[in-house]
Amino acid sequence: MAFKRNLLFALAAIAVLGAAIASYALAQRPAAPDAMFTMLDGRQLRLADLRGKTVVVMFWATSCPICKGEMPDLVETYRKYQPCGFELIAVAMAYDSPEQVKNFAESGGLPFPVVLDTGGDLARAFSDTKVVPTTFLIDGSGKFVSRTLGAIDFTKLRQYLDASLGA
Amino acid sequence: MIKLKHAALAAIQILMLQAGVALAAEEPLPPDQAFKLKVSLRDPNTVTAEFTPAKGHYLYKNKTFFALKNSSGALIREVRLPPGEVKNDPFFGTMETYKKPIQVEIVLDRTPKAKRLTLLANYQGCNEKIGVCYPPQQKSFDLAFP
Repeated sequence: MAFKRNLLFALAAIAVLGAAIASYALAQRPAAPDAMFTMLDGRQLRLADLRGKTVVVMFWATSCPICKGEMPDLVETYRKYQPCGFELIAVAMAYDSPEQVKNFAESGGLPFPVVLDTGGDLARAFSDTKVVPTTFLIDGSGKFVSRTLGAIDFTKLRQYLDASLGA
Repeated sequence: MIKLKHAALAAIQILMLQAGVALAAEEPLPPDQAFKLKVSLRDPNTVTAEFTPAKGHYLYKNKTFFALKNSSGALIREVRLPPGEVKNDPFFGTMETYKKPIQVEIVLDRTPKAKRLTLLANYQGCNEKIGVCYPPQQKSFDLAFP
């Protein structure tokens, strides 16, 4: 009986310690870089100006089938949550052809800002991104929530947006 | 004892949920490990390039191409790429990919004086498991013919 009590106590202690570590980790999440995005139409968008919004920064390329496959879901998510305080920036990798990016953005009717990472500075600033798709979720305080390699889990993203934006 | 086991499992689950926020995603291999490439001379007019994609990776046939640099007196006459595995992509249509090691023959038109040349190998591929694609790769090989 004493053994059981001790074991339960130990498990409870582990859980409390875990909670403490998790809350420390949440508080220590790194801030997203103060990036400046130049959109296809030349307009500029500063990440710091989006404070208060939940932001997704997605690195992609027109040569990446997985990235293109995600676009319809991204468009739908953007249309639903953008009015509630969500922003999405699609950053085409430096090696992509600007013409192909423009054509894809136009033909796909992408409603969110599409950016050319000419020179690759943005990819370097965002965890030295090399593979696509790589997606960063940033909260309203400008801190990273997650970094996803490969396809996004849209169910989880929408759950997060529902909770954080009260959509 | 069963109750104790349930309590232990619940505690572990709580810990896993708490740790979930800090869990790092599986990192992709560096491109040189994802797609190993060995280039060698087969005969006075043929260079072979052996690509070995790591498990769970594939290369695109139509993004695999070669060029010569600083190589006067030599030209690429033909590149013999083996047939790939056909993949139907909703955006790119039918594409051929290489998941297994392949050997590419690069046949040259070379004058006997052209003893040194630089071969540029270009290729691009993806990691199927994580679902990410690498940037186009370019490797340079200095070759010396006897």
